Amino acid sequence: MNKTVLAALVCPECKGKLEYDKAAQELHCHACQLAYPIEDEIPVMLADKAHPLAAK
Amino acid sequence: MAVTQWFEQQGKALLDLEAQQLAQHLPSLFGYQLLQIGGLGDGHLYQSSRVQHRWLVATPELPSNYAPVTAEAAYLPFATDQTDVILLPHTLDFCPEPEGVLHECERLLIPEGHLLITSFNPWVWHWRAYLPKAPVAIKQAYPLTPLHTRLQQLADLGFALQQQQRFWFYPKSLRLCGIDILLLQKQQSTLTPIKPTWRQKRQMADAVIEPSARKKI
Repeated sequence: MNKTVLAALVCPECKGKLEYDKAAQELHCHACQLAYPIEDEIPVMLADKAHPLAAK
Repeated sequence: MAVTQWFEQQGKALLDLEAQQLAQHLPSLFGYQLLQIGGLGDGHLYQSSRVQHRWLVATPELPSNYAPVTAEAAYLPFATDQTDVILLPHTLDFCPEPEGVLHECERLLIPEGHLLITSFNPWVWHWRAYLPKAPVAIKQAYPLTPLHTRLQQLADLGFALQQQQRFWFYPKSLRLCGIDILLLQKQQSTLTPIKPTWRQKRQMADAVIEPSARKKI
């Protein structure tokens, strides 16, 4: 995965910081309580594809 | 047929032509980070740029296999005031929220950052039913915004038009099929606090100053 891109990414909704969950291959936004998936090493920062953190 | 597929096959000549036209502008735009929103050309369009970090952002409408990130054009996952150049190749033609995309560009660009837009001539969309073989890309485009309206929207967001160019992708006799290229710069006025012209009166000392004895000559 492109680490430079990963470091530059923020949450598309609140523009806050994201946390990389390597095991789950997800990017977590604790402010919005959303998890964005990383599919084939490509972060998919779409609201439709994100799932709530609490549901995990 | 998907739009990106059309641009890879029948529209490849048009994409090459656009890359050639963009090569007139991109080498003179410098900075640390360039973003292309929309996956058209798989990075071919910004080949002539000298910016160090050049990233392609795929969108649901304009996907790409070469993009390191996928996002909606109107909700971009990048920090404010971090990008030097943004390229929108037909992104406004196929995105359902073109105004949202422009707002995001204004947010992402640093002051004096550059925005490069390519889009179809809006008249071609209105007359597409009468064109003998209207390209798929034009059939699938959203109702295109007239150029003067687009320029007004950009001016309202604080963008100054630096260069405007139009070229044709059908024979010149069919002047409807034009491509507009706009080069804009984000203007941001710095606020300088104005100091008051009046001065505060010198306050008298609390203690009364006693007169000093004069020396006798």
